[in-house]
Amino acid sequence: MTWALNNVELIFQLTLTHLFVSVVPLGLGFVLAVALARLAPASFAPGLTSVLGAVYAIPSLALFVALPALIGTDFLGPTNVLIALTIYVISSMFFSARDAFASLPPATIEFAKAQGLNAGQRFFFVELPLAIPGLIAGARIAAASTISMASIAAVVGVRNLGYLFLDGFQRRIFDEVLAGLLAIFVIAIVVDLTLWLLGRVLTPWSRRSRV
Amino acid sequence: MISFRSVSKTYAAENAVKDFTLDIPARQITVFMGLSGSGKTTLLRMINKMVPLTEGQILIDGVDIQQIDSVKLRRSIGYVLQEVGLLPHKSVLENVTLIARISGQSSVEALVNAQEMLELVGIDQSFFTRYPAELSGGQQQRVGVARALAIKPNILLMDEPFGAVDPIVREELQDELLRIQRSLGLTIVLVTHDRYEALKLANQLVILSNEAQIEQSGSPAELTENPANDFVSKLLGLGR
Repeated sequence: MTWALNNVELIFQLTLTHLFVSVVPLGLGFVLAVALARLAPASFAPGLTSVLGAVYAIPSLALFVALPALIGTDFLGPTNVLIALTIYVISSMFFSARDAFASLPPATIEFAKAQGLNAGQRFFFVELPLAIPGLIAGARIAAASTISMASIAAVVGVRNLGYLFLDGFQRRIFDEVLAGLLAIFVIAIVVDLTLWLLGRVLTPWSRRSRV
Repeated sequence: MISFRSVSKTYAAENAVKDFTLDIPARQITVFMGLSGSGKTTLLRMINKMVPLTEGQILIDGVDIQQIDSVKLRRSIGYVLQEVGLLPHKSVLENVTLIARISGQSSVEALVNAQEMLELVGIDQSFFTRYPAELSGGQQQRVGVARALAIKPNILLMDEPFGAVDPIVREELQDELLRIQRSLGLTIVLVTHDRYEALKLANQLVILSNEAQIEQSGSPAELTENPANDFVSKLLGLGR
């Protein structure tokens, strides 16, 4: 506790970095997963499912280390980590995005097409708003795993809350490890609540039913 | 006028519609009636190119629909289906204005028009801000009709529009449809398997058997007085 109080500024800085390396991949991954789920032809689905499932199984440390060799990013630094985490978000969110779009009310989709909404109008006016509950649910799961996975980035030189684990472990400062753990816990809860709230704000219609 | 000229539709070597020819007169109600699988819905959905035809031609006022862009064509033809398909995330008023906007009306025009159409189908202003889930089945279908009318179509396609509402509401909606059709001079093509509805609404009643073969076509009076065969009299419940 004393350790945390003496290092408030450090914890705050690390928390900001941690948020940055988690939220950016979440946002990018969300958009790319939705695009992939919506645009990939149905015949690609089985192949895509296997590939993304396999990608999700790659240990994050291995991916952080392998990416520079594959695409020439810096071994140390955030770019590498942002790309790797984005890939994980895509892998995890693709399935929920696919399900969210597959379970839209068929009559509404049929009507939208039959009454002359073009593909873009159908997507933005009908499909995307109706898929929001499913997409948010997927994003909440992806957020929790991304925030936790991001701490491993400390090993490849991104000074986020994971640094408190490494440093605390090496120097045997138990309070430092605990502070890192708590801070990650708090971030995870805040992000989850934000997403939940976003879902509620975007879907006022889902809470009203026949009187 | 909508003209089917030797129209066929084949799904995986099976005919849904075979060599279908019919004129659908303007400003009248034409009803397709038949058993399920007779191809009546397929015929309806060919008119707005939701089902592409395999052979033949469909002309609307002399223009081959193949020459018209699908989206443009659909924005000029009102569409009403049994499941209604309102946008669950939009209010009643927004459901109607959105469609009017997409058909090219300005926001003011769309709003005025939407209010007028909702009034025409008997939806009170106090319902405008409700979501579809807060309406009864009959009210939902009224909004469905208002929405299709908001694009100011000459043609209205209706696929078993009142099949899911209870008999009393169904009769009310049928009466209102007749009134609206007369006041707006609409050309309506309606699919049903309800003989009472068919006899009540049709100016031209078309009885279909498998592969959309026309068993008989004419006014309800002609068909009930002189059914062409057993199939027609059975379907119309004439029991001769």
